[in-house]
Amino acid sequence: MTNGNMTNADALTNAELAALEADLAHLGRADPVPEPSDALLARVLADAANHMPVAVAPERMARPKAQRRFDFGAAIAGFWQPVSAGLAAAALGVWLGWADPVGVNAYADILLASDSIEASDTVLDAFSLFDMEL
Amino acid sequence: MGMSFDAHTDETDEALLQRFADGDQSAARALTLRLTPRVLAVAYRMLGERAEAEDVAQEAMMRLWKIAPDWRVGEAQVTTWLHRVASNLCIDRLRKRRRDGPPLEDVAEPQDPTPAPVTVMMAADRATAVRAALDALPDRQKQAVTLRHFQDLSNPQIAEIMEISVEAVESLQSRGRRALATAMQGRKDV
Repeated sequence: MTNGNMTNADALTNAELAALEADLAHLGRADPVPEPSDALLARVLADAANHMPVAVAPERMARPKAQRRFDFGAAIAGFWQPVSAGLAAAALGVWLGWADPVGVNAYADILLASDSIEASDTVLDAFSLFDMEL
Repeated sequence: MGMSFDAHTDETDEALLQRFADGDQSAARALTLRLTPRVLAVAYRMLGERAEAEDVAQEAMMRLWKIAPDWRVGEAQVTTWLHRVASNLCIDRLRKRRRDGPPLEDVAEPQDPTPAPVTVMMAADRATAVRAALDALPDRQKQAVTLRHFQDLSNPQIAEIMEISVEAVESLQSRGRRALATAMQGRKDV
């Protein structure tokens, strides 16, 4: 006896205990525990799917919030760099074509002046001094 | 069962539960196939009714899924925790049954005057008598006897499940066995 609630009257003789074990074993055989039905397993699996924690990639978890904001900004800038360069070039072209600024014309004359050599038979006046009557 | 057993057979319940908490669907499947039969067995022996036992098994497993992210490894075994949840759910249902009275389908039909074959009747009678004697036990005695005799758990395991001392478990079992033996003896004497 190891507990005050248990009395000697509760203790079974070996014969009584054997008979009881046989009765319980008989119940086990006569009324076996059913296997879980497919429907039950499906219900349990559906519950598991509903309560499944969402898997999160570890590297994303480790990144601080500020870093993520910077990454977002960098991604936006990276996309807009070529686009903004193209727009700026187009705007400059339109401005030069329509506004026709003076400074730009002068600069264009320098850049676009011809450097080709033209043939000429005109004698400069200064050379007439060398004409001598022999 | 239509579902075949798959991998993870050598992994502990705790490891599988951790994998489930990390979002591994295959761990959920392995745990379902491994643990549902055990929970169903406890519930069926406590309640004696299949549909109710299946409801309890589903509820106990759902509580396991819910607690998985907060499970602290090393504090308790998954099976111990599940046995506790399942048997407590069963006790709740047994108490409700007593409050509400037996369901209509459990009310005995008038006896058929045609005699059944004696051997079949005696075998069925014996199982029915054991079942009735078990059902007549107080809830905690029934829980202690069921976990010991039908689930083959040790008294220290049962003590952990019932959250009482081993001595208290022995006391409950002893009184439960005595009540069962008396009920069965009374039947034999009739």
